[in-house]
Amino acid sequence: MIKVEHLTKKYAAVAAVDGISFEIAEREIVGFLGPNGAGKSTTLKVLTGYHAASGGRVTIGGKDVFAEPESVKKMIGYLPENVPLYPEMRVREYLHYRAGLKGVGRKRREAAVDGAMGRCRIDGVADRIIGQLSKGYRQRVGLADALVADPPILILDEPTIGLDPGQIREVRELIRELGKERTVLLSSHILPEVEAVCSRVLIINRGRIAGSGRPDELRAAAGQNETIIDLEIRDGGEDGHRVFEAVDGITAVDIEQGDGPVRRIRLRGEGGRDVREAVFDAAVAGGLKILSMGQRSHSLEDVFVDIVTREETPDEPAPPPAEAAAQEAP
Amino acid sequence: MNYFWQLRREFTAFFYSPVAYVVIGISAILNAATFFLILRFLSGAGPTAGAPMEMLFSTALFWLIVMTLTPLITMRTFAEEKHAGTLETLVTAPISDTRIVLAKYTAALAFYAIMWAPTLLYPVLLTRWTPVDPGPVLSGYTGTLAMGAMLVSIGVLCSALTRNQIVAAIITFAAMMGMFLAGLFSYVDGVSQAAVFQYVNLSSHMESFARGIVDTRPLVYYASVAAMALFLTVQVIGARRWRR
Repeated sequence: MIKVEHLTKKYAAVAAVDGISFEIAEREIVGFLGPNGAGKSTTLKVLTGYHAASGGRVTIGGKDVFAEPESVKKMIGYLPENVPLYPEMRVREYLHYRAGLKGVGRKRREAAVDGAMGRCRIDGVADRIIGQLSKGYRQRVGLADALVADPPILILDEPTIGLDPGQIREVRELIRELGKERTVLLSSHILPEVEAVCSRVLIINRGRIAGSGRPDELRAAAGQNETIIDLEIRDGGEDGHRVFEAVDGITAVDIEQGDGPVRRIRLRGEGGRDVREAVFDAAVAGGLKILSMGQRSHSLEDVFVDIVTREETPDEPAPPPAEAAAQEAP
Repeated sequence: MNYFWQLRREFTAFFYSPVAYVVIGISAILNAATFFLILRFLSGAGPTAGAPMEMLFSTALFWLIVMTLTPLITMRTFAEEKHAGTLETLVTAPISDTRIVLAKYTAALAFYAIMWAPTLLYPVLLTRWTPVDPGPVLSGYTGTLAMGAMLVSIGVLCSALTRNQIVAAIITFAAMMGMFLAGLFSYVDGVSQAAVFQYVNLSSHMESFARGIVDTRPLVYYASVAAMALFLTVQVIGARRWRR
């Protein structure tokens, strides 16, 4: 349904999106995940025809976005970042206007507007002025706008940003339901969101696709070769780095800086080995008192952070936070 | 089809803003003041002669209305959409940039026409006391509207260039003043190309229109500038889609 080939978008000399390629099949819900500034919104703006690509090709429903913008735009319902709306209009009036602009015929318009308002649960504010609505309601008005012409493709840029937890759950439920009969591409920098809604995840970082797959695939792939141990210790003994790096099977030690004497430490070890006892013995020998210890395999969040940090420092390992902070200090 | 739909939205959008009512109110007051002063002048002692409607389109107050209120009409057309970010939802809807520009332009021009509408009452009032020659009245309005078609297009272009409505209004005013003043060079002795400046002399155009002379040369000038300005506006709005 959506096919992106070697897409590049440059602003001045800087490439916001650098040669990415992916494909999205019909009725897939795909999450576009990445840190802020990774190129998510830029990619979505090219897909919706708002910006032109500097290079590469985007086809939607078999049509080139750049060559046939009009017919491509008809297929897409787009919710831009920050949900721009006309604050002086009333909700029903706005959706009615947008439905007409998107070519919904006069006879079907009333039903289309009512349907979209019902789905997004904004019928209660139908006659309110948009500028006086809360952020959550405005977000849902934007979503209703994306839906109103019943397009086969929905492109949603950060659809749940600014919503309260209850509303977030509602919107996720709605997106899941919409995804049964449509193709949905949504962007987010929040992991649980993507994990909760999407059938597939594209991780983008620094303008490149850094990983892609089903959430469980990504987790399984990462979990096989790494174990994580979270510790809380009381300071007072030897340096934590020296103590734990000496343990056989531990590959990385991250120590969180804190004010009090209690430190949180995250150890990364090889997958498939239980090194908890060795860690305990090493701590005792080093004079560090363990307050808590937990072992787990990778969460999707770790995968995400891993992929992103690995991309940022391709050649050298990331410095432990303690050292980094010391270097930055004047 | 979606041009008319968008035109309807653009036109009603004017009336959401208090600026619309201020513009209509100020123009009504200034026009009424002009009309009153003209009538006082003509009915005063001494051998004065002239047609009131003819004079209405060539006083300094007429130019004050045109030069200060036109930028207020056009300033929000694109600048506000850019500022609020709604330009993104607008241009990603299935409507071409050209239709968006034309819809906004036509709506602004219609509002400009509405600004002058209250003055239509004056010739009607005058007929109660004196015969009014309909020819010059008609040509005076034709000229006002035709010149407006050019000035509004410049305002729309300026609005597309910035996301700040105040800036849009100021550069529109500056551009219009430049065009107005360029025409005045035709009056300056020793200017070598006085004839050229005569072609772009807005105030002498309006004087002819008000006297009942519909010259096609200014009309062609207005139409060419308007076409050029609207073409450039479409390019400015479409610039985001240039491949770079």
